[in-house]
Amino acid sequence: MAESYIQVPPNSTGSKVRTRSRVIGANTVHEQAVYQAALPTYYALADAVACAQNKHVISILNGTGSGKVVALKKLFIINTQLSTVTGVALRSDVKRMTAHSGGSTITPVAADTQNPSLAAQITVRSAATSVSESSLLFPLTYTNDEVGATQAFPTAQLMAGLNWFPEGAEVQEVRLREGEGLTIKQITNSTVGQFAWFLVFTVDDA
Amino acid sequence: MPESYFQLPPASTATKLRYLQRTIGSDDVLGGLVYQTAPLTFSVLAETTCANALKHLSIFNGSGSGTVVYIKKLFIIVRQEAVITGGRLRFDVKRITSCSGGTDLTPVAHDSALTQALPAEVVIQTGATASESSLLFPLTFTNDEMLITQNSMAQQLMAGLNWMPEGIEVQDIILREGEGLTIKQVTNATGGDLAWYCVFGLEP
Repeated sequence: MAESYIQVPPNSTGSKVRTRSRVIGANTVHEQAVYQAALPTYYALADAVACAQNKHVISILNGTGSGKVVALKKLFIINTQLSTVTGVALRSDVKRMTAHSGGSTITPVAADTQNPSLAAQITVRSAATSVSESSLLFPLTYTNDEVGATQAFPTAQLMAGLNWFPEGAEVQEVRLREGEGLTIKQITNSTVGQFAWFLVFTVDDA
Repeated sequence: MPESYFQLPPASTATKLRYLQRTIGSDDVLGGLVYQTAPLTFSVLAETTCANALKHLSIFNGSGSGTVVYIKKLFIIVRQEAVITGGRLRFDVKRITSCSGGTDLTPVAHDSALTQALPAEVVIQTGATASESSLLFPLTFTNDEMLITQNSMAQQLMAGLNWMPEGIEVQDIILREGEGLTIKQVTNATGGDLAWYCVFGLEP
């Protein structure tokens, strides 16, 4: 988005800046109130995706011409396997990519209904059949065993509450500029189990 | 702390803005001290028992409220203490466009001194009838009881996780007038006591 500024008028007649006052040492000083700005945010859910080797369970592409940059904020992995299966240890890779097609189209949901519509070039797919993969970012390893029926099997429940994307103050999220994307690809050969892949991303002007 | 404002003086003779000085390289530089504002914030708790298709907690910002609701946090507390045979349950977190017929829940203000009354158009219910729209995300967990040993890792740790995505530059789920959110049980199962603890903010 475009950078801007406000020129505060002189002579104490203009805009009022919200502060709170504190006594620090011998001085009464003011601390200014700030709001944490947020960017238009979207939820993309690939629900109940059955496991399969080499499946791109969810992929997002910021296609050429969008005029936007996509920041990947959150990734949650929610085990949706509720009946008993015999799970195995799985690896999936989180990779950059440059193109995807095929599979199912996912329509992201805006966190605020007043958000602008997503650019048509920003696409989210599940089980894309053609993906041009590039750099490996990091792997995910987990079991595709079913959700536990007792409290003694915490893995699936707790894993669902963790954000698997690195984020933090002064950390750049993985950003998708035009022609860039990200995919999550199952590596291990297993067709057992299913997961919901829940992606949260923001969109800003390029 | 008291809220205040100031009108900037013309000759830097009046109000003092707080700064911290650091020496970076060969320069003494100043960094301003700021504080993060917060909207009017409320907690609401729905204590429920699992039932098929039950909308355990619904929050609806009705037309005319003059406010926007920000869903900040959602905690799931399994409060089943007696022994039951648990199951594997799915719940869906969905947007809704109406809400009625349930049991009203009364939110608690986080600051009794500053908080304005919650507009009557903001309806919070358990067991409501609601018009569902977009699925945001599912939740899956067991309704099994809390064990008397430290083996109840799932529920004990799950209760400390906020299930609403939040973070730097990430919008909360925002409910404008005529919009709401519900948590609906999808799996057909009965039994198992839960508490759904939601924290939300209001802004004009």
